Amino acid sequence: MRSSYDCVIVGGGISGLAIAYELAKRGCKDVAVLDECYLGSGSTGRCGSGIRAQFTGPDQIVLLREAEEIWSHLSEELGYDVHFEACGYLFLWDTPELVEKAKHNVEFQNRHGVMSRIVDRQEAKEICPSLNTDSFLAGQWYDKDGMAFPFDTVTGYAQAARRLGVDIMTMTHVFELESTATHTFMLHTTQGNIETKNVVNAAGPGSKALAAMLDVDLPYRLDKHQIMATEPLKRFLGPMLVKNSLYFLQTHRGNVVGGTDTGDKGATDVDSTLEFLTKFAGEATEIVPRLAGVKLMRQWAGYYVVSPDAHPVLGPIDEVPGFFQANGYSGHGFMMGPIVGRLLAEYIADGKTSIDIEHYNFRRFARGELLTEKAVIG
Amino acid sequence: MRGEDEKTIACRCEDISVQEIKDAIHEGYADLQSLKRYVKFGLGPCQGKTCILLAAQILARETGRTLDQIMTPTTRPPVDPVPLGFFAKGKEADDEK
Repeated sequence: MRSSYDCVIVGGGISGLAIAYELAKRGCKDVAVLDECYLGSGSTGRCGSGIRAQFTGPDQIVLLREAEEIWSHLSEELGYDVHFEACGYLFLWDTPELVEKAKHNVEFQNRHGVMSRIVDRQEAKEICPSLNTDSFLAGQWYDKDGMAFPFDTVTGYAQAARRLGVDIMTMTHVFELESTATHTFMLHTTQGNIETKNVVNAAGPGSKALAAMLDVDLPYRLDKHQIMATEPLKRFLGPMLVKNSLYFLQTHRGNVVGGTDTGDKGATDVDSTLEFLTKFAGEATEIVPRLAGVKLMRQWAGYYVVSPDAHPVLGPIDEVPGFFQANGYSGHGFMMGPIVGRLLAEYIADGKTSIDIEHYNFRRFARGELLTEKAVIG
Repeated sequence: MRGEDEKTIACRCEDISVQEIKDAIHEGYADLQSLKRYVKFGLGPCQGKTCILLAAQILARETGRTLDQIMTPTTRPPVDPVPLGFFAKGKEADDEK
């Protein structure tokens, strides 16, 4: 670790590491990434590993469509297998009203280049033979949605960034951040002080506290979301299945991984509960009955960093030049990581982005220009 | 030692040898949390009850630290794997609709 850098990224999850890698790729190599624990120890390493473009808001549909394009060749790009697989997402709808809404969503997604479609029970069963067809009326299917392995993605980005000259420091906690008289920032960390021209806040659940050090009030709430993994089984499931807040998939290692919402809004711990297991087991075995005989191996939890409109905050802060945000993903940070990395790096390096991110700016909250998104799962 | 370490299995669930753990430590994965996730030991049905302490010992020895300087991963419930059907109220484990 040196005492000064052009850019310091706080947070060594997928966002921070992807931004670092993309900056270095653009020739900005005087970059450091700090994490208070180990890489991927926050929301990235706790996530459900799903990647989808089937959103309801036009902004996220476009963002995730582009993210999926990057995901589809990310392993080759990073020279490390992140185990991306386009297993598809199959949403299950169980009331006529939900099916009608889904038809509108599909039409809307199709208009934005995401070619999802409604499937009947028989076709859903062909996509996922283990489904109990009595548990839903129709499905909504997109075959380019998928999954990747969070820790391998973290490793891939970290190794690639290091090869390009980025310094990555773990167990390095920022306890004070101040702007200096010479328009730089001073980061006081448990490993010493660092001066820098640019700070990127990719600190996930810690992003609100970091921004508060510069008197920026990010309007976030932390929601606890629990998740579990079963014993590994030969691949049988196929797609990611989603029904209401329930979701699960089967990873390349064979474990079924998934969760459901237990309504823990404004949480202060990530403890596991039996209440979650009971709810998850009941819901999951209803749509895939054979899961009843599959053994649960471990459960854990993580935070969704939820913003008032369930969209992230991306880009600069008007009042604090040089302080950039990549946080508030409201449960979608892992899937967005590769595109956020690219766009933030473009913005920091060139001052412009290949996809407009102006409407994701922090200033939208003060102006009352909130974005819309209904499809928040888990 | 290398030949022996290649033949000595540290994690039985995931079939990972002592040598694979040592190699990763020398690649720079020098904390137990990252080491576990990079090499992927301790993720099988026993959830690390056999291998985590063994890996911690190897890590301590290879990096010249003592065991109490190694941060061990959180132990997650359940202690032993349990069928999901057990938690699903009113459903039998062999319920195949």
